[in-house]
Amino acid sequence: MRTIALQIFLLVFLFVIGSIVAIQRFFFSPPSPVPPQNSTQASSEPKKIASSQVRTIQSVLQAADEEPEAGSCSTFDVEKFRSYGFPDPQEPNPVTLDPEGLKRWKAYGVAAAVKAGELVDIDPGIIGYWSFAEGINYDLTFNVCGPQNENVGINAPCATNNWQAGNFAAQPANANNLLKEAFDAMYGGSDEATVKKVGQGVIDKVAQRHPGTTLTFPSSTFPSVSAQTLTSKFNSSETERAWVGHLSRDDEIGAYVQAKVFKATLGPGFADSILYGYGDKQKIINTIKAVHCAGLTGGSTTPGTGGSFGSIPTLNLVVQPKNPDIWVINQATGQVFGARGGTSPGGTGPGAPAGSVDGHCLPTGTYPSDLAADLRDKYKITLSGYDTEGTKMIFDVVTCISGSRFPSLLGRTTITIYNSGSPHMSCDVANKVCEIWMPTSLNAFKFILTHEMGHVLFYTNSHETMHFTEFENAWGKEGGLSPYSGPFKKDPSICGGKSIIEEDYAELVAYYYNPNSGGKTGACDTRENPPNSLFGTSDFPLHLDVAKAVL
Amino acid sequence: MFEQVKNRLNTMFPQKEVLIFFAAALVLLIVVIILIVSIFSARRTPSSSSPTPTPVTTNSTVPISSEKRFSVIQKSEVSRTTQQEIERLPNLEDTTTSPDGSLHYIFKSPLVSRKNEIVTKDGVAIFERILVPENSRAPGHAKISEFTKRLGQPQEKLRGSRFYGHLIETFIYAEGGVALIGNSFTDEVFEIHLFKPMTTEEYKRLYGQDIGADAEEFAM
Repeated sequence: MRTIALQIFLLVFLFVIGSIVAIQRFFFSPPSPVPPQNSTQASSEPKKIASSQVRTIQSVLQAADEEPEAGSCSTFDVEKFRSYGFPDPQEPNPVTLDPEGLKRWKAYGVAAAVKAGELVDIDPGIIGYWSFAEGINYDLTFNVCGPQNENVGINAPCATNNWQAGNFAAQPANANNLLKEAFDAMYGGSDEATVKKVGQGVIDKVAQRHPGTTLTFPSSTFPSVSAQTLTSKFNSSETERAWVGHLSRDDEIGAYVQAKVFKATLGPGFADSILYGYGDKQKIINTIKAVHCAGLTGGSTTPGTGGSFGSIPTLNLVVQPKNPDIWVINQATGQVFGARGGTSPGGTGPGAPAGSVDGHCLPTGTYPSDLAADLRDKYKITLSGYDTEGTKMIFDVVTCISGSRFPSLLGRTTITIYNSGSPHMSCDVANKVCEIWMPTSLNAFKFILTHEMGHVLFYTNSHETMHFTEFENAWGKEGGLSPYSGPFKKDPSICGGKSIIEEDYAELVAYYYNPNSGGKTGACDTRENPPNSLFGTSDFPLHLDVAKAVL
Repeated sequence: MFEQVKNRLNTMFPQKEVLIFFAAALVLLIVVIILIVSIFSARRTPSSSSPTPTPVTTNSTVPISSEKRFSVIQKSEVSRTTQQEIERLPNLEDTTTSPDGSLHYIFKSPLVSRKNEIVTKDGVAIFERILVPENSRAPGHAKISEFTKRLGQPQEKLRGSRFYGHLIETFIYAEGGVALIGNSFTDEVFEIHLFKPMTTEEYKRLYGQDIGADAEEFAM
C-alpha cells in the first residue's frame, strides 16, 4: 500500500512539474535560435573552392597591387551625367589633378562631400570639382577678396563679399544664406556651442594643415555665436563676415554649401550652366570624374603589415537617385578582404559565427541545378542580370549565413538584386519589397552585399527584434565600428566624425558575417591596415553582444 | 456508507501513510504556487542585460484630459501643464533655455543620443517629445495604425530621419497638434510629438529638425 501511495504521489508530482515546464516554454520562451551552420559538418564531401571565389580573391589581389588611376572607377554614373548634358568622359582620362590638392582632397574633402552629396542628392565629384577648376586645389587658406580678384591670404579683411574661401571654394555670401541649414544638416545644430566648436576647429586646422600659417583675423579664438546671429550681421559687420567666411572653410560646411549651390541648377542644362570660363564640357566632365574617382576609389600606397597586400585599395560608393516613390538610402563601404589564414588582419576570435562568408565557409558539394530558383524559393531573393558565376557569388554568401538567424530576419520582404549601378539598396514600403544593386565588378563584393542586406534587415524588422535600443547604446558608448559609420571609436578626427546610425548597423552585420575582413573604409581613413572591428579588436564588446543576440 | 468508505480507505492506506500523502501533497501545492508566482513575476521583470526602459510616469501628478492623451507615458498636456508641474516630474536630467525664452526640460530615456523632452513657454507646456519603448509589451509601445485609426490619414508624410534613418517617416497631424516618427514597414512608432495646433510648415520649422534634408512629400 505504501508503495502504491508513493507511486501516485510521484506521478502527480511529475505531471505537475512537467505541465509547468511546458507552459513556461510554450508561452514565455523566445524562439530558439537556429544553430549556425558549421561548414565542416555540413557535408562529408571534400571541400571545393568555387571558381567564383577564386576569381574574387584574384581580383582583390590584383586590385591591391595596382595604384588606381585618377578618373578610372566603377562608381561613376555616366548615364546620369549624360542627362545633365555632358559628353562621356574620355578614357583614359587626360586630366591630371594637382598632386598636393589631390592629397588634401582625399584626406579631408571626400568624407564631407559624400555626406553632403547624400543629403542633397548630388554627386560628390561635382561638389569637389569647383575647387580644382578654380585652381584652389583644396587649399584651406585660399582667400579671394576685393576688386583685385586675387588670393590675399587668410587674414585679409574683406570689404566686399565678392570673394571665395578655400577648400571647396565656397562663396561666403552663399555660405551665409545657407549657414544655419548647413550646420543643422551636417552637425545636427546651429547653436552657439556647435558653431564655436566648428569655428575653432577651422582655426586649428589651418595651423595643422598649413604649418607656419596662423588664422588671426578677426581673432585666433572663435566667439560663442549662433549661426543665425552671424547671418543677421553678415552684411553690416566685417568681423561677422570674416567668421562666416572662415566657417565656409570647414570641410562639412563648405561641402554642404557647394552641394546646395550646384543642386540649384542640376538638371538637363547643368553642363551649360557651369561652363563659365573653364573650358569645354568635355574638360569639365573629365575633371568631375577625376575628382569623383580620386576621392571615391583612390588607393592608399601604405604597405600592408599583416596580410598579402602591398597596398590597400579603398572604395566608397555614391548615392544613386532613384524613382522618387522608392526610398533610396546610403551606400556600402568598400572593404578589402583580409588574407585567409592565421595572420589575417581580420579575426576568428571569440564569438565569430561558424557560418560566415569569408574564411569559415567555403562552398561544399555541388551546386543545385537551378541556383536562381533555390534563392527565390528559400529566401525570396530574385536575381537580375547575373551570369552563372555572379549567381554563385550570391548563392555562396546566402548559403554561408543561412545557418544563422539571417533567413528568418530576411523573411519579411522579397528582394531583387541587380547586377548594375553602384552598390545601394532601396525599399518600397507600400509593396513590401526591397532592391539591392550589386555589380559583380566590386572587389569586396561579399562584404558589401552583407552590408546592404544589413540595411534590409534593419528596416524590415522591428526595433525590438533588431535590439535597436541596445545597439544605440553601444553606438553611443563605443562610437562607430568604422570611420564610415562613426565617429569611429568616438574619435571625430577620422573622416570628419561621421555619425550615421543606420550605416553602423549595416557595418555590424557586414563585420559579423565577414570575420576575416578588415581594411580601410574610405580615402579619409588614415588607419594602417585596420582589422575587423568586431573580431580583430576588443574595442566593440557592446556591438558584438548585439550582433550575437540578433544574428 | 461513510463508515464503509472509511474502512475501505483504512484498508488501502493505513493512517500513517494517509497523513504522509496529504503532507506531501500540501508541500507540493506550496511549491507549485511558488513556481507559478515566480514565473509570472519574472515575466514582468526586464532582463538585467536589457537597456533600462523608459520610466512609466502614469502615477505623475499632472492631469491630462482623455482627448489630449496620446500615450500612457505622456508627461504633459500642451497649453495646460504648468512649468511648476513639470519641474516636479521624476527623471528630469537637464534644463536649458532657448534664445526665445522657452525652457527645455530633458528627461531620461533608454537611448544615449535622444531624450524625452518637454518645452515650456510663458509658464506652460508647448511641446512634448515622447520616445516610444521598443518592447512591444512595454507600456506606451505604439503602432502607426493605431494613430491612423484615431486620427485618420496624416496631413503630410515625409521620409528621411536624420537620427533613425533615411527610410523612416514623419507623420504630421499639424492641426491636431500631433506628429509621429515611425517605420511604415514595421508599423512601429519611435517618437510622438505633441504641440499646439499649427500648420505643417510651422511644425517643420519649429519641431521638424529630425526630418532629413532630402525628405520628399509622399503622394498621399
